Amino acid sequence: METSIKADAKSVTRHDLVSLYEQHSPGLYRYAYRLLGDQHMAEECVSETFSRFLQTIRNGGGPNENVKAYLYRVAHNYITDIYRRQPPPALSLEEDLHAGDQMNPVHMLTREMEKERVRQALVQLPSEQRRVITLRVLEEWSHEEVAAALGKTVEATRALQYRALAALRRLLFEPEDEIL
Amino acid sequence: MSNSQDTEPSIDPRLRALLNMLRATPPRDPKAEAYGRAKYIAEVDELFAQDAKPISNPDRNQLLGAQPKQRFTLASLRQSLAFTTLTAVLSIFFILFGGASATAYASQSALPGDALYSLKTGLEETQVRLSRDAARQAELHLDFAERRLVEIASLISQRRFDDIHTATSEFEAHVQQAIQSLEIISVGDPARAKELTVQITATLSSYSQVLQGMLATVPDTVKPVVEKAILASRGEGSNEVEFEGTIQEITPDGWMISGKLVKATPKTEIKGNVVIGTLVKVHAVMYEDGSLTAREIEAVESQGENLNDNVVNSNGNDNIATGNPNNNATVSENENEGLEDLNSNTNRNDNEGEDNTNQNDNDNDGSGQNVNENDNDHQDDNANQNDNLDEHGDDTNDNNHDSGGNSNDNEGHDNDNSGGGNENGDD
Repeated sequence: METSIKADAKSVTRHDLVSLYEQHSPGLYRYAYRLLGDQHMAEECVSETFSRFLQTIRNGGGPNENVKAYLYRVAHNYITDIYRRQPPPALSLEEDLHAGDQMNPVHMLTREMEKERVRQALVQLPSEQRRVITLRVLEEWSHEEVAAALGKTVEATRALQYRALAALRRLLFEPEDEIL
Repeated sequence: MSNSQDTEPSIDPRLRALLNMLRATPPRDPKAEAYGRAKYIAEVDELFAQDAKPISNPDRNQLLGAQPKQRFTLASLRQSLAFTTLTAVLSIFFILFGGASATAYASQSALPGDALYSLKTGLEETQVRLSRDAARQAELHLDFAERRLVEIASLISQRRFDDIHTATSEFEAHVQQAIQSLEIISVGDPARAKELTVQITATLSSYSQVLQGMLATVPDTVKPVVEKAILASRGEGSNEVEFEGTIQEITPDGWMISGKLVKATPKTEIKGNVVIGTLVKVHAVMYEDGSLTAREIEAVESQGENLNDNVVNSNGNDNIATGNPNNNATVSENENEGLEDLNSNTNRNDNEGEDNTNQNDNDNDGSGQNVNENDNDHQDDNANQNDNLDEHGDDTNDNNHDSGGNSNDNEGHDNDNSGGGNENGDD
């Protein structure tokens, strides 16, 4: 449902707000988890994102764009803040070892470290580049959706994605010349 | 949501593989999910509750295609929150989703200053107490220290700077306790301790980095507490001290105990009846800047109860007033279960007024000896009472009162009332 709450909107119903939550909370959780690698923090992110959303509404109107894009942008900012505030968290062995990872512990650990490395690389990307990669590759949004979320044309989004992938490749495969 | 993978041939397969690793997500914890939803709905209801009179706006956009049953002016909502709705919704949620444990879960995201915060730290404490293993305790303390860091970050983001000191001092306490646990391990298992030391050192240094990062984001007034936490995370700057003193003043800044300012936190254990004037024993952590944060403040009671100890209690009271109901302050109670223990209670009261009471209670289960002595200088109506509940030993009660009002109860022997008008209840 490509909905938008326009800035001049004076009212919405309770039902609207609840159904928005139902609709977007699972996706936002996955989005946050992929970038944060921590269930508790991911839940916090979802909660905080919706709180900010309500706050925006309370302060007069709503996001001046489509709600989905708005929510993912708030979540993106929240995650960015977390990383900005704290350097990479110490790698926690308890997190992330969910069912399905039934390999031997060494592999598991390596895998977790590798995931953490990818997250760290993503975090180092400029904000828009990170958004395009996460939305496009991790969340599998269409180019059109990503373009709408970023407020760019589809062509500009493609170009951005190209640059982002190149930068990520450099960060992950040529860490010695990490100049970004 | 649509055709992505196949239209993206340009992605380097190695990169694709790495990114794909992030795609798997664990299922949401149903409780966390339910709690998040309940919280959101409570917030929505709160939003609506604030504007009791629905105002319909003919120009409003019919949004989201939903039935506009409740209309309200959002722009006019007041900041003052109607907590009743929130509380009601959350209460229902707790009842539905397993009461205490749901509350406990809810408390996990509580911050210092929040209603559920003490529940959160209380649960943590219980968790530590339940684990006998010092290594596990060290681990828990480190985890909890980390939680404090997350709280500090949240407080900073909410600009609740006044509550940060609670989190930092708890952080320090946990770091301190982790190190103490490590010391315990090093006695029994030096090899394991060595291993843990490496781990803990690494963790602490990452904490220190986190705090360094936070330092820049807090106002100058809050910087000192963050700096203190940094020192603690480097394992520096703090030391456990112990002293006795009298409480002179209790202020929001801390307790003045015999001229020393001691900070108390919610974690500080207060034992006994602690009021101004009480003699207390303080266990505190001293920081490099000389400041003290109490871990425990315990009343050193004049009516000390001594178990299995050879203890001499000596109380000295001066009563100048008349009719001073001073009996409590001069009660000495000793309890011995061992053999051949000596309980000695001595009350030396200079009573210039009247109606003062001295009382000594001794209880020896073993064949100990009880000695009670009361001195009253005043002539009239002072009551000295010595109770010896000893069945075996030689007990001595001395009441040196010139006039009446002394009584001795002994299940032992040898009572002596040198004043007049006294009674001995000697068995």
